[in-house]
Amino acid sequence: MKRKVLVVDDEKDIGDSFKELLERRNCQVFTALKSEDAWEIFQKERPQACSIDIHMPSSAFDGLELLRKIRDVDKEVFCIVFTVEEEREAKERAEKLGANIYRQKPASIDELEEIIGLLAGRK
Amino acid sequence: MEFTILNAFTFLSSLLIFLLGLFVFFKGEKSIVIRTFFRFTITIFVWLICYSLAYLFKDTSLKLLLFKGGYIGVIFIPVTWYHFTISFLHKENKKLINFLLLGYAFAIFFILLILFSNLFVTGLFKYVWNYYPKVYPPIHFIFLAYFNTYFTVSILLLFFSFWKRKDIHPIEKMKREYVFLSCLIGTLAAIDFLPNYKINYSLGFIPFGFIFMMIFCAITTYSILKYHLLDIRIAITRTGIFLFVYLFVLGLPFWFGYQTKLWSWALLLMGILTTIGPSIYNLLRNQAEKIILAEQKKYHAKLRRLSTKILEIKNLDKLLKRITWQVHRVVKVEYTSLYLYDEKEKVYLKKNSYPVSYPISHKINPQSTLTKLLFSLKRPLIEKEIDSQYSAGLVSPCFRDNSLIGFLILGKKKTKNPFTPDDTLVFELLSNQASLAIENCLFWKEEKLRLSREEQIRRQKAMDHFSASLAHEIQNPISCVIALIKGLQETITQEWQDIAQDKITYLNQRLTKVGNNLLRISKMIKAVREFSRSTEGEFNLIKMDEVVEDFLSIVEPQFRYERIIFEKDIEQGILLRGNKIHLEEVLINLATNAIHAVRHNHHSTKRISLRIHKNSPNTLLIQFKDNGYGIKEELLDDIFLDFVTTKASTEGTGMGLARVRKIILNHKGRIWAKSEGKNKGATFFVELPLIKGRKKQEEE
Repeated sequence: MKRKVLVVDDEKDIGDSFKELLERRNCQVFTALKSEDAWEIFQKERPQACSIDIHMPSSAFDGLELLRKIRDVDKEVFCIVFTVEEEREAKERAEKLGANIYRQKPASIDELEEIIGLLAGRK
Repeated sequence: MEFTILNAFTFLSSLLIFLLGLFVFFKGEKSIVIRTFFRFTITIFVWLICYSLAYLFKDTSLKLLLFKGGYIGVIFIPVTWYHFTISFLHKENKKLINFLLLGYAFAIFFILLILFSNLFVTGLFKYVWNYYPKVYPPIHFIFLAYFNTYFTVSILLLFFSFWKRKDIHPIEKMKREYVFLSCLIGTLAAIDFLPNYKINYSLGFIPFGFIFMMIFCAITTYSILKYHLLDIRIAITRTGIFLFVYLFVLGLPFWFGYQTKLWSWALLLMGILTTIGPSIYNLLRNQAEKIILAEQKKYHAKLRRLSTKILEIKNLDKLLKRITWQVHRVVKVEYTSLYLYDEKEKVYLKKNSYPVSYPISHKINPQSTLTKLLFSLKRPLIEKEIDSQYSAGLVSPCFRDNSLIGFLILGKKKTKNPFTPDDTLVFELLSNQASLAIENCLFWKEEKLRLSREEQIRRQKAMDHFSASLAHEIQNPISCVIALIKGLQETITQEWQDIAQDKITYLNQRLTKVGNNLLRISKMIKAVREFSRSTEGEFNLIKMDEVVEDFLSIVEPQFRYERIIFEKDIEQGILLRGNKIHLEEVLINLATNAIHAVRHNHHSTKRISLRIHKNSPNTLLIQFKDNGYGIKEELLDDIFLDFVTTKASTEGTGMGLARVRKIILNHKGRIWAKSEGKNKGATFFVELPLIKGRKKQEEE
């Protein structure tokens, strides 16, 4: 069975790019532009990994809130949280909520390789 | 009834003096000076009114009684004058007071003699012009001794109250000169004692001394009431002309009448002369004053105009230039220099000087004799009071809140005439106005600075907001493009097997370069965000010691690693209001720059020093010094602007000092740098305001 990965980002092109990269690594990828959609998908599909953008102004709630909801029901799922800016506060909250990795956008090509690898479940 | 010119004049004089006394009494403040002067005029009034009435009545016993009454007034004249003198000069010496009491005792003694015996006034002498009291010489000699003693003492007291006195204000000095002069004139009235003794000729001496007494009272009134007195030369001239004209107006008809006995014609002549008298007086007066004051009058008016005009100037340099130039041009002196106190250098600096080449020092120390004297006397100094090294004619100080902010030095007048007390008054006015004008200019300067600071903060806020959304708008597409590149690279390597390997390698390398360059853009955007990140964190009462301690714990390991000798000199216990994190950031930023600057010192020891101390009661100064590669002079002001860096393009974004400046600005402080030039090191200065005493205690 393929590894299920959920990619949440309000930038469609980012989600699509991630989808392409992950599918190449033999994953089943679900993308969402809004956190509320992502939450629905999560409940239905129960992915093994999530990539979450914190800042999603057009969503009902932000990425951190999504992370909290996910962690409430699933402590095991691997979560990467992204922000554009380095915000000490956001980083601390993300870590407290149980994000496995916190990253700042944009990541370099090498970092991307590492991140995609982790999402795809390669150690 | 016997109506003569003599009794008419005596009567008029008595009324005039009485009115003068009343005028002073009601116009002046009810001080002891005014009260004693009023008493003095009353004694004269009593003397003259009684004498004029005595001249008027025919009955000799009534005459005698009135003369005795008049003498009571005369007896009080010296002691009341002496009383006035000591109160006018503010003398509170015990001996002088006792002397006053003794005077009153004498007066009372003589009055008792007059009232209850015939030992003082013994009878009447008959002269051609009228009767006059006859005195008993032995007693009268004692009386004259008393009279002279009290007048002499008064005159001496007055004389030494201004003669060679430098410590009194020119106005006060002039007042004393006036009173002294009027007193001297008054003593001439003593000629009226002559007819008390029958001297061997039939006419005797007409007692017209009361005229001097009238002048005496008039000048004294003028001196007491008027604040800005005339130049004494003018006063003397005017009095002289007045006396001359009126002796002529009165004397000529009298002489004519006496010679010809045609008294009605004499009266007519007098009428004509009195009508044209004032015009003659005015004519002569104007001519005389024109000659005396020609030079002064011209520039006084101009300086007064200047005094009012300077208040409109808002630019300090322009103001100082205007004052110096105008004064120099108008007064016609050898040179004019204006000095102003400089807060930084703690000396009085020469701001303007004409002629420019005149050799006078650029700085005057606040401890110099000149400035000390100005400070203690708080008035313009004239030639003889000024240290000869300046070869000055006048120095006029400017005060603001009791501190000497500057002064104007004028060289000697080209005409060689000395500066007069009148000049000092005009300069005093000019100086007062100049102080106001300087204050005005400083206010405008501060206001401008405050406005530009506010504008800067406002723009910064807008910039912060803009940069936040800009960063977001740029970082997201960059992330996207990098992810796309990654996808493309994977596609070409994994799926395009039919393409030659070298082409794939080429494409891959190019795509990596595109990605790296995008990351450079991203890094720059991050730096901008870092800079515009809010500097509005919470302000608390913080201890500078703690800021430094935290800073050192971060930076000292780095100093050791880089083998830098670090020296620190931190004044303990400085408290201020600010944001601790931000201030630490400032120090770290400065330290990072300093480390960078000394890193390449291969021939000398790497040195960095930090000094923090209070440079004034209200400010704290941080000095960060290194002996690194220094800063070019033309860059000194620019280094605090965004994106200006002295480092190589890959090493810095040029945002560090801009961020530091922003934080300092937010703390209402100042930052500046000094450097001797390339490879000569640099020093950064940060000045921060401290909280004032009382506020500090409250917050503690």
